[in-house]
Amino acid sequence: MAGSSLLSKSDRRVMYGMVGVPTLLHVGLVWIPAIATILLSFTNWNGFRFDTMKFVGLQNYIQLFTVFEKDLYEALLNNLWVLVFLFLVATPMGILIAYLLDKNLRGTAFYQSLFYFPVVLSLAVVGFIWKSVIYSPRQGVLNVILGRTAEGDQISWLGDSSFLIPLGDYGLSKNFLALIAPMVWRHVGYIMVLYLAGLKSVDPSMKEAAAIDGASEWQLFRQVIFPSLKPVNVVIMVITVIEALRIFDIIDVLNNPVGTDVLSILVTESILGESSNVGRGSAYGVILLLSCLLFVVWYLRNEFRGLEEE
Amino acid sequence: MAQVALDNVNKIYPNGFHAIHDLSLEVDDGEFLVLVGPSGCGKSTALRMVAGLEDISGGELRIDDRVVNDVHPKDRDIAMVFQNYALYPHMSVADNIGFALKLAKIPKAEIAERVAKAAQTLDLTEQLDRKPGQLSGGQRQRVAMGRAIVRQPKAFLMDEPLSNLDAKLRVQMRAEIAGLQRDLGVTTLYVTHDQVEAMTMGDRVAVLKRGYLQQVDSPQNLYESPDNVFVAGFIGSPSMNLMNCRLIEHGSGLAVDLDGSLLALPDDTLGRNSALRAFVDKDVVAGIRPEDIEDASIASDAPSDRRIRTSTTLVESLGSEVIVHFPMTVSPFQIMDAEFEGEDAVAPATDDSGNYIYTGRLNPRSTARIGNEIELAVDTSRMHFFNPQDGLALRD
Repeated sequence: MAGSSLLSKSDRRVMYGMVGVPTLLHVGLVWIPAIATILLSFTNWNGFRFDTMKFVGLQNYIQLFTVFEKDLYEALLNNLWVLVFLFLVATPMGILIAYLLDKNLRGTAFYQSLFYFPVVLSLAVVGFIWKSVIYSPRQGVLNVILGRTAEGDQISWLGDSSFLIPLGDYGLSKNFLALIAPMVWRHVGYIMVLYLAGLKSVDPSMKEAAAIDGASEWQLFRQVIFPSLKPVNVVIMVITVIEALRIFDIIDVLNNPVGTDVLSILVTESILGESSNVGRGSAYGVILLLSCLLFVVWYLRNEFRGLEEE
Repeated sequence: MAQVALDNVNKIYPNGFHAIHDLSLEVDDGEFLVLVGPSGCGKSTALRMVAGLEDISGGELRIDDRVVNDVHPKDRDIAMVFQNYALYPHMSVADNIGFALKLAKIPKAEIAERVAKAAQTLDLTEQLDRKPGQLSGGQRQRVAMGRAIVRQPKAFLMDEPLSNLDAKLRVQMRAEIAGLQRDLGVTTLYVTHDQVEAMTMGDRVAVLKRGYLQQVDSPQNLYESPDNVFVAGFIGSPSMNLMNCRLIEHGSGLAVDLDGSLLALPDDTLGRNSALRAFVDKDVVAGIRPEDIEDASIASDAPSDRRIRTSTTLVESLGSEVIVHFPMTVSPFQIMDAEFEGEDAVAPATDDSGNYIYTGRLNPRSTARIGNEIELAVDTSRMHFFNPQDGLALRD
């Protein structure tokens, strides 16, 4: 190893420290809990005393797909709704705003801060803001605008779990859509900042070349800028999928109204709720993990195929 | 193919910077015109205005007698080659070259045919399926050229297309582009800061400085009779020696007094250039090209009153020639202009005793050695004279 022989003893010590400490943290905080979750999903345990832990095989999973079938599918579908809305509404909006701001309009910095502001807030805070300012039945912005603030005439934005889009026994409930709105609001700013950074890296003469080649604004974006920003697009896709799958805090702080379960809520509910069933919670966690893996594997396969082509 | 004409074109940026002053230029049908000048002279701005990438603040731009000041770039029917090539990184070479045709909704079969033909011309057939990232610098340059020629536009605009290539490739591509332009006969406006490129490629060369057009002429005329000290100093390498001196009567003719040492001018000087008459016994700027200086031991028939006795501070032997640097007490002319005074003021080179350094380009047989005494013969019939007040050439 020619490279390592150039390092002095103290260099090496620093190097091991810098690689070792993060590795230990990563193993301790990510890998051990993940493996523990998988193991625990095959047990029946109340989470208090280890001697009550019992190996039950696939029982938890069998229950998930029978007794708790409705909970599971509702949660999975809700996660999917979040993904759909982040992808089809928030991401295009974020990209559009970034594209407009990249034109160096007057006051770009102001708009940029304005749209990015929700991102610096935690989703829990965002939830509270929307709950009390927008959705509050008596003094919320929506009901005031609609003139529905009188007792008995109020719209309960977060309480109405009837389906807006029914799909058989499941669907998109009205209150879950009300929860998706602030997620979208926040995600727009996130995407905008990421995309703006990408757009700043686009060679300006490439845009000029396209203009001279005869590209309209839309053709310029669709055929030149968007495909040339593939690395940024991939990052945005990964972030959007992860955001959609791990969504939790905003629902939890709004007291998890009926019809708004997602996978991460089921995990916490099962473990910390009245039933306090660590095994079942872990099984939900494993399903969440598998959903992520499904995406990661697909993504890595694409990436490696891309690398081989180059 | 077309004629491109700029008529008193001005460019003033929103911050008030006046980048181009009343630029009037005509590029004839099929002509290769080079815009050259130091950085910041406005040459790229001028080109970008022709392309439609910059607004024109005043004056008129015509392509084929049609005023195109407010016409969108894509409707001007011009093709541009950028300094960094500006290729589309995600598209194959074929798609890069054919992109404009695809946007113009030309049938696929015809696109393929035209792309193949352009690729053949540029020796890119093997690379058509590759992405720009997999190509060498020279190949990318060719793709950029291919993108321009495949469109058969009215004019080519090239913005320093060779400056990202290494020296050897640059010389090769220089010849290729010039040859290609001659074959295709497309009107071309070419921007460069490299005067060698300008001189070797252009049918005519326009020299710009700080947004003002200095002179437009054939390369040979620019070299032979520069209109002012700036053009004199800019064209030619090494640069012309420009000395502050006095024009005096000497015997039956004239001489220049270089701070004590005299250089006699040929007897017919006044006959050829009567403008000098008004400057007898006055200060002038004398310009001597390094190539008009020779080692006196080689040019042994040079008259003794056309020689400079000096020493050498540096001798650069290039094989085909020897460049000598020699000190003189006479000061060099410094190009100043009122508006930007001081900005350009690079202190002239001096030796240890405060003498100013000039250059000569000698025959390789010269025996000049660093630090030795040397006698240099000057071909005074080829000297240039300028008015020290306005820097303009003194000629009829």
